[in-house]
Amino acid sequence: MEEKKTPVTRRDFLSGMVAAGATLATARLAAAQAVQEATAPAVISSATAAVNSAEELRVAMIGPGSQGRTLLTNTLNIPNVRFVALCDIWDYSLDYASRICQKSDQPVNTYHDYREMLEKEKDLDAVLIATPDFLHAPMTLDCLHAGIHVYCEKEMSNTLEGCRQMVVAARETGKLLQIGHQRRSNPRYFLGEKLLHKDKFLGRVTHAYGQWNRLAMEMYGWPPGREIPADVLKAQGYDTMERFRNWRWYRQFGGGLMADLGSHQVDIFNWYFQCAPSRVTVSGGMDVLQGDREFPDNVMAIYEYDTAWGKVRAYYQVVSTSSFNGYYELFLGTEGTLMISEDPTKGFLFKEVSAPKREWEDEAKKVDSMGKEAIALQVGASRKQGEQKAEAMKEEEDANKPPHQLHLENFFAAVRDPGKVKLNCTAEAAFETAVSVLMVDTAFKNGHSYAFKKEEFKA
Amino acid sequence: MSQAVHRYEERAMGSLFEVRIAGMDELTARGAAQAAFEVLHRLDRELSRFDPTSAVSRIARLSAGDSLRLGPAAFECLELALEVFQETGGALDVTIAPLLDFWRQVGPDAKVEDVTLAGLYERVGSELLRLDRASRSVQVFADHVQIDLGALGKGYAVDQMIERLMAWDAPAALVHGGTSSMYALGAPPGWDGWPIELRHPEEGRPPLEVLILTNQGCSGSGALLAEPGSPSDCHVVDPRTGRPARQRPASWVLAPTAGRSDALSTAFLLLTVEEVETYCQVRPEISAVLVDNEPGGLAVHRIGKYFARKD
Repeated sequence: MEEKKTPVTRRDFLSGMVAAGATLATARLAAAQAVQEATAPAVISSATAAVNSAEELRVAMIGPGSQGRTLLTNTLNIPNVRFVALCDIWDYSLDYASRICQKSDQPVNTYHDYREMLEKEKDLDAVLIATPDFLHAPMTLDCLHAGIHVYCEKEMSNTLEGCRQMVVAARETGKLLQIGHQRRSNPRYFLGEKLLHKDKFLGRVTHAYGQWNRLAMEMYGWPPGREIPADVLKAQGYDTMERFRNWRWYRQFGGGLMADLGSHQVDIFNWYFQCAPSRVTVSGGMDVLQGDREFPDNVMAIYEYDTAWGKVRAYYQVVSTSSFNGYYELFLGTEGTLMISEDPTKGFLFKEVSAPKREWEDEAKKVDSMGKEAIALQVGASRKQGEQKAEAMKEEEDANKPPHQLHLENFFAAVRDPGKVKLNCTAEAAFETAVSVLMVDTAFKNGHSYAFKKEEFKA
Repeated sequence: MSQAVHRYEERAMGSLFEVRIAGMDELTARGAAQAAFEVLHRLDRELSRFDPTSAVSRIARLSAGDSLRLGPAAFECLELALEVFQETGGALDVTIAPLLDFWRQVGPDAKVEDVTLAGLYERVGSELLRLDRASRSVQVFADHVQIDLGALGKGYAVDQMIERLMAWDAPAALVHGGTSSMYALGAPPGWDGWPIELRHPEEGRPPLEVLILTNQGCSGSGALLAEPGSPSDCHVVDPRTGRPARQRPASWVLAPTAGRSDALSTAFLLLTVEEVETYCQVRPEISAVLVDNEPGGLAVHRIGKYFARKD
């Protein structure tokens, strides 16, 4: 809702009349002004310096739909990044997203055809891609070959061939390609990795469990009269508007629940275990939801990993008909258990009684976990007083940024200074995860089990 | 065209939000409501005090002099809050949380020296915030300024949900958050607007007023309208004095947006009738209903153009 306001000439027309508590109000006003005077010049000069040294990045987005808007609003939190163009075949999404950009004083050019956008927008530093999975590969390839860095949503592609092409294109063009597994930029997940490998808090890691449970969602509709013209739909590969809106359920366009949700968490298994899985055994089906959806509405997958610790078995479930406990991952070892999630309210360390005591344990914040005491998972908590305080505070603040913002910040930092800043989720790393989740579909057709070959994980 | 009013509910921001849509078939109405609730849940994350990653939580961790770039939602909410703070001489102040906590601890009748309050005011007062349009950022002039957008955040969410329903071409819709923040879009078939009853502050009495609203935001504040379980004793601390205030039992505001009606209905609990009259003269798009406890019983003041038109 936009306000149409009567112009007010005396903005503070009531403050003269409302004199209650004048002494206090005057006192605090004076105090605030003192702080403003003391800090303002310094702040303004440093801000100006920042603008001058860090040149504004010019960014475009292809596919500002539901997930695209998440990336868009997160990017708008980041200084010195400016949207200059948006592209979508659906006007509804284009209007919606350009309105959001406009509210942040970032007027954008809009396009229906991304090729036309790449042709006309000459000075793009980066493109964010959040279209349906089957379009990721062709769009990423075109952007990279046009010399533009790309942030592309996961899953890289709904086909292994598409994923492979993306890895190769990034390698050949030398342009950056970050894949949207945003947990890879989350300080809480860095801490988890450190606890497993450096601190060895869990002892010998033996198992993992991950879940994403969510309530059944209805098929998406669209406002009447705002359909995409049939020829535009056809040209992009959709038979109907209904398919366009609900692409996630169909093999031609997406990778099903394991790619949409499971991929985020299987990615953590691969990262933390420092290897790809050797086998997956699956169950699931289209048991509850109605319609002609092609992918199962629930999947249970047991992955086996041959890690440096030895055999680790990891159970993963995604259920799209019940929401209990949402999403999180558990890592179990002989000395303890780590619970971690992108949801910052879910995170703790449980220690077995037989495990050795850590020096920081007593001071750590405790939480209850199903009737037992556990240590809250807090970034910066184990750092000693006074030790690298500024750095610790920055890390803590980073841990409390919106999760997608962190991953985007890593990408934009790498775009600015590729020599210094490394991407947190390269195409190679994401490729391993893509193979791990996309082969679940093959496992279903293959007697519910699939043995991965080592060479499959190399693009 | 269907004559039915379709109703959908979801919980967010500690309230039950409802979307009513008329003049649309059920399947389309459901899609539109789904789009509106998607916005609501996103705003809940962006504006919540309880989510450590939200903009207001991040502001609360800033030190004096620090700046933080804000997304459009947080920026627009703070812009509105600061504007109403200034216009009402500080009767609405979204930084008041430490004072509320303090009075909740000591009780409303405690004898408290000015100097004690002055200490609390080091972190309270909207002058401690400065918005910079060019960099879309907020700068704070004290450490750890806590922001509670309260009802204003709910009203803002209602406005954004209405924007989505309009994008779906809903001809008539009513959206409210916990019945205290609402926006009426168009009119249901056969009506001039959406009928809204203002509940009488005394139990069991007929409604105080029935408003017929179209393309207008409407919000109510007051002890009797407070959500069950809210700490009623210290619910109103006057941000201008730092002390518990005798608030009027209820105030309702009509405004072009639900965000503004929410901000003003909170401020109007503390302003005098004359001050509200002045406000509504300068801003003719605002109307208000104020209920005061007077020796002879409840006095109801109907102020502004909406009521002038009717009389």
